[in-house]
Amino acid sequence: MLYFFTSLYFGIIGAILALLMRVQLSVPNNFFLSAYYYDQAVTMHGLIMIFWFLSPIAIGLANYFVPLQIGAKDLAFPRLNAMSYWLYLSGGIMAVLSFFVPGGSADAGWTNYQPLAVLTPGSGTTLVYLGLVLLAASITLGSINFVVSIIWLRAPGMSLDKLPMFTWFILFTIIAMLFAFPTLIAAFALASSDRILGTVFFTSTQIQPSILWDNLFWFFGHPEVYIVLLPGFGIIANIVPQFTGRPLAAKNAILVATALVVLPLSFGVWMHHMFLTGIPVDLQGAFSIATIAISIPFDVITLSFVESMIRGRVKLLTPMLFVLGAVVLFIIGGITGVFLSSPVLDRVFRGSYFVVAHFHYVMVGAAIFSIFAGIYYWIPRFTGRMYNERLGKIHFVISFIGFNVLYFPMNFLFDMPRRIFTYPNIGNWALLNGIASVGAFIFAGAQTLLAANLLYTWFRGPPSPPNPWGSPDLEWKSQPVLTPSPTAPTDTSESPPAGGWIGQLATPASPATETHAAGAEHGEAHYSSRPIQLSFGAMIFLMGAAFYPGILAIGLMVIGGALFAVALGGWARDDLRHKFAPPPEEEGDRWPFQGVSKMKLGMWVFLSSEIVLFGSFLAAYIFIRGAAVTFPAPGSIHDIPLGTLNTIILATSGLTMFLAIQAIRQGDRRRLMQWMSVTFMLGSTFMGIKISEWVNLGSSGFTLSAPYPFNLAASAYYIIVGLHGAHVTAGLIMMVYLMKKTKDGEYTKESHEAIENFGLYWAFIDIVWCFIFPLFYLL
Amino acid sequence: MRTSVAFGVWAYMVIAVLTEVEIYYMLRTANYDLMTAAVSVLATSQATAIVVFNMQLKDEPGAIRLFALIPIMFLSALLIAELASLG
Amino acid sequence: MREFALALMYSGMLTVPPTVATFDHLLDWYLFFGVGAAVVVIGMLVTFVILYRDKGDNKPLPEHKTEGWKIVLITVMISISILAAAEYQTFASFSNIETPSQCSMVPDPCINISVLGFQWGWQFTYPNGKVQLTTEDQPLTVPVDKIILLNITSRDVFHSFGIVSLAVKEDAIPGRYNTLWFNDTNLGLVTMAIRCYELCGAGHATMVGNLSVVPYSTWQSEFGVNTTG
Repeated sequence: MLYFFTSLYFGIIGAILALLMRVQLSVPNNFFLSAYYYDQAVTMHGLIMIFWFLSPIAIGLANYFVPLQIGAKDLAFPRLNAMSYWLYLSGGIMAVLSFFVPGGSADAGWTNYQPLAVLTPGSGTTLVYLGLVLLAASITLGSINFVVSIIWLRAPGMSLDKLPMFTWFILFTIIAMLFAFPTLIAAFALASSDRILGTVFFTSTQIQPSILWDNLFWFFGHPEVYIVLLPGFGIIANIVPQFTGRPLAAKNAILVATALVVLPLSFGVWMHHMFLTGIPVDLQGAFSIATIAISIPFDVITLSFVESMIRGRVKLLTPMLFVLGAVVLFIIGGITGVFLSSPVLDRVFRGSYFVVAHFHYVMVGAAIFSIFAGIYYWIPRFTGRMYNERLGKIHFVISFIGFNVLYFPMNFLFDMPRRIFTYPNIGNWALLNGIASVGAFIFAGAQTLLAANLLYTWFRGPPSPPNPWGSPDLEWKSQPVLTPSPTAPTDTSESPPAGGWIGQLATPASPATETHAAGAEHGEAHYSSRPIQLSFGAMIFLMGAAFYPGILAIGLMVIGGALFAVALGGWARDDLRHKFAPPPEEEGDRWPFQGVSKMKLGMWVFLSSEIVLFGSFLAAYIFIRGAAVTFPAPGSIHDIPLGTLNTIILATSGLTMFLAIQAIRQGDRRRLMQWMSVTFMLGSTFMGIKISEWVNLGSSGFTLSAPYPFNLAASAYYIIVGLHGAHVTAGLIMMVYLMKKTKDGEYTKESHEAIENFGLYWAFIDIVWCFIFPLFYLL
Repeated sequence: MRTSVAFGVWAYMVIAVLTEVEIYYMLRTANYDLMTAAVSVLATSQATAIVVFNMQLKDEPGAIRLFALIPIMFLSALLIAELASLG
Repeated sequence: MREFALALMYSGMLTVPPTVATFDHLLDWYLFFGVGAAVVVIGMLVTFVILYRDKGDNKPLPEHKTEGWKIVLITVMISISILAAAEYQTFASFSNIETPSQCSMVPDPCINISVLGFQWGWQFTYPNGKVQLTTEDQPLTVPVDKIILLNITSRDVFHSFGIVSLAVKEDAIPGRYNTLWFNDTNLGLVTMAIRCYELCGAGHATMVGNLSVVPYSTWQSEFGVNTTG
């Protein structure tokens, strides 16, 4: 629930920015905000709303209700969950702080089209970028946690066909996140390194940097639209049957369409954002067809919702009203989306308010209205109290009217460019903008009713029956009514838990303590303060990096780095001392993953996101090679024999790591120790050679400030090979930890999961090098 | 997996990387495109060998294999389309 | 629908340029089916809500054995065919975004003008080498009834060059040359016809330009290549 309230807070910031913009645009030739402030407002409104409000609010609901719906005590990795929350908050703090540094915040639009965004002076943009990297890291951790929870922690009997729709759609969302966000990390890491270190990924005009950015950004950005939308559809699909008194029409068709069409295709339509960048006409055609194709599953979903009323008994209570509103707004937003799928129509609509109207209908209309529906639907379960029905209905009516007054006129502003801070009084621009601004205040004002209703429910609401909607889902079966909520402020002050108050804050919204008596004994597992230390350490370090160079920057980096190291060491020490014993796992319904352990599943899911991370970096490099007319000839910079030797060393360490695993499989701890040591030595040698190569290259003038194209080659080499080196180093540190545990006699023939999983990680590093070596040394 | 297979994979890794370098010296001036293709195939085969044997993907359930395959599918789409977008 | 679209364009056009005609024709299609589909589906939703609202009687509901997949299937089939028809129309209007074939003939009958975007304005280079920056009295000047081929790029950041009244737009990207064609059939000056459609910094809102369409002979004497012989 922390997630939930934090995201509401960010939502308010985003809304204030939006209102500022609407004030500025309400009349022509207005100078309430200058272009300088308007551009910041428009950029940060987009970023905050999408990354710190829309996604997290859905994740917040999921955090609370997914474990309940699948009958689990908690998510699979509680400390990972805490880590994910604190990283999210840290990133948000950085983004908001950026308003207060000289030069202001990011101001190149939420899409951050390059090279404008890397050329913007000031530390503000860098702060936002690094904040986004933290956020993306948070999302990746959260995704791993949810995937493992949903497929591994289901209660006995909770087979996939009984899984509630909300949980299904969260699973879909999470899978999209898992594969989309690594690309965001890659894109913003490259842009940040341009801003901080002076690499030339997006400043070198010879390689069409704008196209590189568009590809990376939208390859992430289009799935992100579905990430925002799908939880809302999950809520709708989950709650409609309770208000129509009949099952959802074609439920399985919805699931199949989403899993087999929406998810894969969402990664195959991104170029419809690039129709006008001069890509070949055939490519425009192909992506236009793909875009039309992805609208078909949404037809299935929408029509199924509509036809779920037939021969039912429709109760028009507040959640259902918001569902109906969301469906109507999605129909409008979806159809304008079909217009935008045509490259020919795009010649007029691109970059205009028609686009603004379209995506607000989808991302505000459909997504937020359905999340409101979810809030009203679940608040009795969350507080044990009932909201005020009349107030809820008024909230809906005003929101719906306000929303349409705000965004419908924008459909007619298809000749007005987006993101202009002021406009002359021509045509009907003044009239339509004026109407939209009035609508904005109606819509925003309506949300105070939501706040009022939430507060009323929380403190004054009448007790609700245990299952007010007659839902068959598990979350309604587990709660004694009117127990104080686990996150109610009074609750935390009453019983300071072990680990202190900060530790309690770090607790993920966990239903464990209240629903299952057994959960309470293991409650201590959540109260680690390491995640918060780690996140804040990373945040302070990155803040320092954003201000680099300068004494303050270096100071911050040292403090942040130290805090990070202490937290990491502390975390390891906690584990070595068995401070947090994980509760024993019960055998549940795990099809189709029986026989896979929780940790191993987590490792594979993590590695699959790592594939996308490295893949995105390498794809960027391959693009650069394709775009650059001149590039240093292979063999002219890097020492091929040395590289070959290093490759063989790393491959050999793969073999020795395998022998180590083989040893412990036979229960031979001594041989495990020996082979691990050999692996460690080989890994260190690899890194040693790597570093000596870097030193030689640096002193021979292969630096970021070298003349073109050497600066470009140097940028790519140092950043991408550096990323791999960082992974190897992390692996070496983990190995030290594993060897310590081995020495303590922790691993046996039966229990040596950590070793097996580390083996997977080490093999993965080896695989990445299989591609890096030829790409950088030979081709 | 038997230990002998592990040694086999290792031997293949070494041979493959030496072959890559050999191909590079042979073809870099004569036929750059053929060299690129051959080296790419070798690198991919190395990666496949590690995934299948060292990471034991062949013994895992199909659902885990999906987690390895899906991102590769997406990335291939990215790679093909981004190169095509250069025009 | 064309009247509607034209009414929103603030220039009194006498004839419809080919790019606009193609666009309008396509938009008619999309509007017809788009608005139609929205009306039908929202209409269905409202009808069902009214028809099956909770009337307060506690009559048992009919069994839903098949969960109603048939009607979903039928309606989805209908929407797929509409989408396919729309996509077909889009492909049929690709002539709008493809460079006209006669522009690759020798001698080239099309008028080639280079457009360079910068922070914040546009610079045009005409066939005779004349270079002009956009100002209030320096419009983009083109001859009437000729195919104009713009070769668009940018000097600094990502811009997007659009003349919405001609239904054309193309991104101006550093290091990349994109083309766009139009054929304006109406003489006269259109103020603020040219705008930038991608956020390019503080001057984005004022990155506007005028479009002037003049008779060919006038244009030729000022901007055209002197045909010797």
